[in-house]
Amino acid sequence: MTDTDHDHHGHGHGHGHHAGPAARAEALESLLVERGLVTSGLVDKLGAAIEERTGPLLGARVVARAWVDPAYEERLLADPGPAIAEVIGPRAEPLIVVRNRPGVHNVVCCTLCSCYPTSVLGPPPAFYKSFSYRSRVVREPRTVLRELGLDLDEGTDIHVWDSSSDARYLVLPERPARTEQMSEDDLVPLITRNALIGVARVAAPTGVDAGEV
Amino acid sequence: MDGIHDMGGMHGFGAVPYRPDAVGISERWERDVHAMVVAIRNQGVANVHEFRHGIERMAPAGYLASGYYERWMASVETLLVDKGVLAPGEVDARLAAGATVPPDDPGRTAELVAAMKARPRPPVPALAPRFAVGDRVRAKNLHPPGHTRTPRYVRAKVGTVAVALGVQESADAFAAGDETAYEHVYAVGFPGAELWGPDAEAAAVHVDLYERDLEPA
Repeated sequence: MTDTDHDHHGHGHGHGHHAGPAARAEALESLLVERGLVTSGLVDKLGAAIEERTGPLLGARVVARAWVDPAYEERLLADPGPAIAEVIGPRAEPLIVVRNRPGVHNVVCCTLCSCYPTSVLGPPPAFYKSFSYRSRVVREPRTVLRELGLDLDEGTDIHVWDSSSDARYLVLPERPARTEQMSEDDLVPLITRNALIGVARVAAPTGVDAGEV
Repeated sequence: MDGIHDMGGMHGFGAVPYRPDAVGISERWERDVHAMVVAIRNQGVANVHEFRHGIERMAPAGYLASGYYERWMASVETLLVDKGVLAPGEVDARLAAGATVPPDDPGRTAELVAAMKARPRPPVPALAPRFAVGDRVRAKNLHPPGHTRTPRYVRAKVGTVAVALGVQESADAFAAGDETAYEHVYAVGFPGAELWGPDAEAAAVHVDLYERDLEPA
């Protein structure tokens, strides 16, 4: 057994296989209702708001703006907070943007728990929260990235950012080739969550309009 | 705390379990636990640092055997027992008795929502920073029994301040219940070889370190 995280994602566990935590959560909630701390309505309301944050990646809009507007990119790197707010509104936490460029690749993690820029990327993916990622990406990032499908050449320096405070990190990926004619809005869907964490590059678009010789 | 949670650099965990379609919350109970944590924090019953430390205080074998939201739930129980909201063993007893959540009380829901919105956010004090970008610093060789955000893999190591992150809640102090302590935090870059030896794959690892945990190098 490699990773012992018991994160059962996408599997139906309705028949008692992992009824343990669900039943315990219900017991806990019933007690918290009695203590006046929550109601079932409050839990539903807050829960719905949490789930809604899987919506469009706000971080992708910031990146797309930086790609099309060099003056914006300068502002973003000099003082990320106000620049990010220009595009997606203010965030509560300090946000730091780390820029990928030829020879330098950035990747983000949280070794101590799973701190993640939820306010711009939605909730963290399961792999990010895994013991394997938390323990290994700071020590062997090249190997971990290769396992996740990103092969970086030996000449590329890898910088790992361990989010141990309230600050949250957003990778500014390199703009892929064959996107020079694309508008900011068209660029946004290319920019994936994994590219903003630093475990993937943004893929160049394919298709007849890409203009490749 | 030199606990099981501080796993940066540990060997043995194997391949990263990557599933492209995996979502952060897949079960209703996970969503409910997350919601309960938000409710508890936003009513000032416990702060996020106490909450993280509650997870760290799990027995190591239990920590490793638990899923992400199981750890959240364990921390909620630990904190609420600490604070006298729950009696020890009360969740077990309620579970054994077969619990169901009572139907909603819309009036009470509205009161709680209003209370959470109205709760004042204390201002962050302006403090003079001790360090600046470019400074060489050493992470102090401290091993506090309580909450700290300085991972073991950088203790006593020397790095360079890469980013000044401003004034933040002092994680150690807040986790101990002192919500008046604030300090500057810095992203400090450590050369990979400094941390892991000559075959290091990382050019540099940057960790956010609190001013109290740094000294000039």
